[in-house]
Amino acid sequence: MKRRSAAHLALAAVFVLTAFVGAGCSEKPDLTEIAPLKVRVSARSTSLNQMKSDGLCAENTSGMLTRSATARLSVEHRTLIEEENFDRERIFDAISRAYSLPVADVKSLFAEMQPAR
Amino acid sequence: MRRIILFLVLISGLLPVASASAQSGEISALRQAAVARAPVILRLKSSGLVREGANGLLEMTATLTEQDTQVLQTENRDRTAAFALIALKNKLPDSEVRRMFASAARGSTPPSPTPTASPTTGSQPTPSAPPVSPPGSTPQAAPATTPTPPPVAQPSPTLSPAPVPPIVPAPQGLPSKVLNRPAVTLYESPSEAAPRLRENLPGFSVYYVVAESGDWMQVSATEGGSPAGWFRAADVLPWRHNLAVRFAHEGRGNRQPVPFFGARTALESTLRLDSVERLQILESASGKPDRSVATAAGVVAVQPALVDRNQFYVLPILEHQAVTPREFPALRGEARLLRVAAMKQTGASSPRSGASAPGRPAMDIVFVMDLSSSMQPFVDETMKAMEGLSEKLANSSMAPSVRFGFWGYRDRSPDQDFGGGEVTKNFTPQLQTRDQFLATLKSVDVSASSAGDYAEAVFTGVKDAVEKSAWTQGAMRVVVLIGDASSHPPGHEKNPQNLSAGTVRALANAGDRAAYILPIYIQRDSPLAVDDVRVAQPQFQELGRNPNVSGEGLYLQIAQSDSPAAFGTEIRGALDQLVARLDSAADFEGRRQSPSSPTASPAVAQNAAAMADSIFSGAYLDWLAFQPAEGTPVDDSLAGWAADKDLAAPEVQALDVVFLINKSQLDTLVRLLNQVIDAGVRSRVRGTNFFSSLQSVVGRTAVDPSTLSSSAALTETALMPDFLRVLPYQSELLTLSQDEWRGMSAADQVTFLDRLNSNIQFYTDIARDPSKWHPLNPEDNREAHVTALPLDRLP
Repeated sequence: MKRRSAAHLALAAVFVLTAFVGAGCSEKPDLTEIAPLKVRVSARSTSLNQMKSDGLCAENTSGMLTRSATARLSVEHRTLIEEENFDRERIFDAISRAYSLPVADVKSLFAEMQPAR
Repeated sequence: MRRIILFLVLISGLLPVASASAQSGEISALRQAAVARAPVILRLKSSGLVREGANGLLEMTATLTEQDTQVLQTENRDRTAAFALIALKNKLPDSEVRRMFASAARGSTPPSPTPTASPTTGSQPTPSAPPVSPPGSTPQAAPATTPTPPPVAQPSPTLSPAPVPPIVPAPQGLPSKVLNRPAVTLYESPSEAAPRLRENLPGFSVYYVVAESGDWMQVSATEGGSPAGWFRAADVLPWRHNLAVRFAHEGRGNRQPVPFFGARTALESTLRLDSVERLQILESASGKPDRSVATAAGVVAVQPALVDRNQFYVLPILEHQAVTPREFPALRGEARLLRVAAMKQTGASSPRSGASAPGRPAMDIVFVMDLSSSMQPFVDETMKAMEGLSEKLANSSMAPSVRFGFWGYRDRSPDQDFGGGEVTKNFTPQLQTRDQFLATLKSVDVSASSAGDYAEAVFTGVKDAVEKSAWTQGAMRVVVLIGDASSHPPGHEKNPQNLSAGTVRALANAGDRAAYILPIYIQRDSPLAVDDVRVAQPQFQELGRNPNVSGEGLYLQIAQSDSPAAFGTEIRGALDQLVARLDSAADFEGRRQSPSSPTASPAVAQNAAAMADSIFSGAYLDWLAFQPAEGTPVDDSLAGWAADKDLAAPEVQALDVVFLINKSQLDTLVRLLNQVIDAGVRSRVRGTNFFSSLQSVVGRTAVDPSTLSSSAALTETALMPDFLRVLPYQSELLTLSQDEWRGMSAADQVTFLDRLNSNIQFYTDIARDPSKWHPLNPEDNREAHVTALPLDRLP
């Protein structure tokens, strides 16, 4: 697996935080394209957190949500997960382009920052 | 562990009805008729338009004129009748007579125009001529007066060799399977002189074909297992799809018992008759006034009056053919003609036991009521109705035979549920007598607050009542559903089990015995209620689609302006009717009279008493199906043709086709549905092509995703398991194409996906229920156990 420098990791972590939490450094590149995505991600966070605590879905190591293989999910649940993953992918892509980082690095950094599962 | 009788004896023989002299006379008449037909038959055979089949009947190989078709049908009908008479006279199984006849007839090329071969006097079989020949037969005449041959249990060496049934290759990708006939032998090598590994095998065990050699077949007991030995090919029947039938609703319902015909042509001829003639044949098959008409029509057996639905039984389907009203105008829609195998029950039946002894029907009545805040007046009215019932029961001998239960349901929210997230509550862990139940009703409490939305957990309430009530063993089961709101539909966050009305109805049908649901919907006047009734009506109606009750699903709708007083009247009427019918059933049960047949009913009942009457009829027939069968004459084994619809009322299902699916296949099905749902969701969210989405969803599975993107329909993809692709049913999943998907509205797409999701729920419940899995062979391990999945429950 490709190794990343500590500085690289730290920088990327900030970028990811910027994208999802809205708190970031002062000299950030233009990430306006992800603003509407952030709104949507934020809007569904409560539902998704509930689903996570109900065991319906979980974060994987690639920064994406995966549905439980055994729990009973409705089509609505599945749609929420898919919409979230779709938005995340576009956010990861935007950050990757803005900071010239591999998408995989952004994803795995995001995954590492998730609360322990 | 519950004893499993794999293949139950389900067929009552029709044939032992004629006296010896009558037989001779009938055969003589049949022979004379055959002589008259012989020139036509010979012409058809020599021109290759018909041929001798393996079952002793003529088969069409090309389209015939209407006149020739009639001659052919008459010939086969007469042959069938003659086979039956000869079998009776010679104490041979009908199948053996046919086999011997077919062997001789198919071996004689070109056929000899000597249709006078007499089956009349119990001819001794010889290698050159079978002992019996129905009219129109071609071999030489047998000596006219020879001793009756011995039973076939010890086959005479002079018997003609049995014909080898054609072993139809299994569909691509599926193992070739066979069923052994009853009482056959498994040999060490392909020779009758070889050591016998097992003798007198029980009929219809499943074997997998390992190799074929001439008229012999090497088999293994498990798929891919080591060879178990050799069967004569004539001793097995090909079984391709793991398809079987069960008698619809287990009891007779309001349909005639299913007749089995010796030949498909005889069944087809019957389907072409007018309704009066068909009914005459069906009644004759039941012995009314005698069986001569049915026998002449080619009926060789009939469903017994009583079938124990507690037993796991299957009648394997050997062949099937879909037919339409275009071919048979009597049909209301597509139907299936099925050639099924059946055999005699060798084990003891298991008479039901429990509180309700034979001859004394009992009934459990369980109320399932919405207990949201507005329902208190209806609880009160139910209590009044129960009080009114007390006098009737007090003066009736039926009191000990009726038990009551009560379940409440609410909505899934912290201020509405029964605490701890429970949306249902069982107020009667043990079903109660009327007096106990009155006390219980006084303790029923409705919710203090109103829920945020209109719908309630109706489906969960009914499901819990059906599955978790302490039903009295052997009693009829009636569920009275009372609510003023629809259920949260599948996919709604407050319906986490994704229950649908169809799923709950199927669960109600699937227990040890069916639960009969009497749904009462109270329509409020509020604007929200106006919208709700459009959702509730089909839900309640589907729940009221009780087995053995014809017509649309029944439910009663009471307008708020009339309630709760009107409700009180209705519920009293329903309870009174149920108990009155129970009382009268007990009275005439001893005389074994048939209950009155329910009639088709409008979707919305006029009153609860009428609805209760229909429900009682259905439940009573279901109860009858539990009764130990009385000594019905049975044939040893046979393969007969039957239609899956009632021949007298073709809108009524007579046979349910089931697919015997193992756990691995069920897992595959669940995985496939999950992939399709995920692909559908992905396609909707991302606006991508459905099959491209499927490609992404499948990802790194065993299936090459590149095979998906260009597919025109799901059935063409490598995802589709072979066992599903070859099944004879109309699948909305298999035929799904990109165009069809794109042509659906957004709402239709969600509905489609919801339906698939409900199936996952249904399959998962089955997978987790050990009582639903059965071995096909005694030596099968658990992974090879199967469950009977109705074809209409496949996606």
